[in-house]
Amino acid sequence: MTSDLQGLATLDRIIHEPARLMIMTVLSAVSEADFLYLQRECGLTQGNLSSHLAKLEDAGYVLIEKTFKGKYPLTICSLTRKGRDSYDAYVKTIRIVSDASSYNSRVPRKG
Amino acid sequence: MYSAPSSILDAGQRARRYWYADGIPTLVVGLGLLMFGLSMLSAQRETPLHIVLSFGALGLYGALLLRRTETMDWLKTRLTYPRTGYVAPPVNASNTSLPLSLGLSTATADELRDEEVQLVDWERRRRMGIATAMVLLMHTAIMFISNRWFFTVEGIVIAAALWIVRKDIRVSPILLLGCPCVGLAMTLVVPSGPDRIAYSVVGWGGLLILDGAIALIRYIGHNPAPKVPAA
Repeated sequence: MTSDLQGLATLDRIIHEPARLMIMTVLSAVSEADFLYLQRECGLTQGNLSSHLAKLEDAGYVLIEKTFKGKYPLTICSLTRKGRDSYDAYVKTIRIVSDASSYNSRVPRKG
Repeated sequence: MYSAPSSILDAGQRARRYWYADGIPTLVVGLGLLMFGLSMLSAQRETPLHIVLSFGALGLYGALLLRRTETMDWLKTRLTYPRTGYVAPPVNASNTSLPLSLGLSTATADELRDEEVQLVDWERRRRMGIATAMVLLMHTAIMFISNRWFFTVEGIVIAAALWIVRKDIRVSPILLLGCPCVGLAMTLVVPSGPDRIAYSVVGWGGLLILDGAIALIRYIGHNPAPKVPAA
């Protein structure tokens, strides 16, 4: 349990930020999505989403491609293998902590 | 261990439902059914004009069947993506977005999550399988059962099948209530005879077109086109 608790210190801080966690969660569930879809799903402003996507791209977690569908410009985002692995590792750590917390909450308390 | 789908799976489900939200898939499938039904009706008239109409409708049906995804994508590119954005269609999503569910997991993948994703994916496939079997059974049975009231039974069973898959695809109250109504209408209106199957197909196609068109109009109304293209 101690090592699990200390595992919290190794959480990926790039993913741990709430807005980036939302982006990673949405992208983990689809093969690709465009900027507008992410913006609507996450409820972020254009500038906010741009800056978070840039950080995720710099970390090598997200691949961003600018393309066209007909006349409509698309900024398509998808998770890289590295991004997916990091996200899986992050979720695994959080799940361990969450399971331990729900066990602790069942321990009888004084008073 | 499994309790409820995690938010990861909810995001996937929302992405799948998003594909159907604008009504375009329903509209395209309904149009295909209508064309197929009309070609069947025309073919039984045996006049040169009806034969030409039959082949025309059949050609349109074939084109819609073969180019279904392209047709939807073409419409979505003009109507949906500029308004609410693009996300990969559900077929691609199930193949690549949830690799754990198809046994393509990476070495670091969480076994528990793998189990969870597989369970939810299996449940979704089971629901779709049951609903498809119910619809196919009805469509096969109608070829052999000539009782007019079977249309009503078919409508009720199809509504039940849609209710089963309501988590996975967009199922509107129009469809749920419309199916028994179309079945009853066909019981009361459609003459018995060889045309009854063609009328049935036209009826279902018409209902899907109505539902898709209403969904599309509402979708466009709720999501006005942006003046400036998205980034």
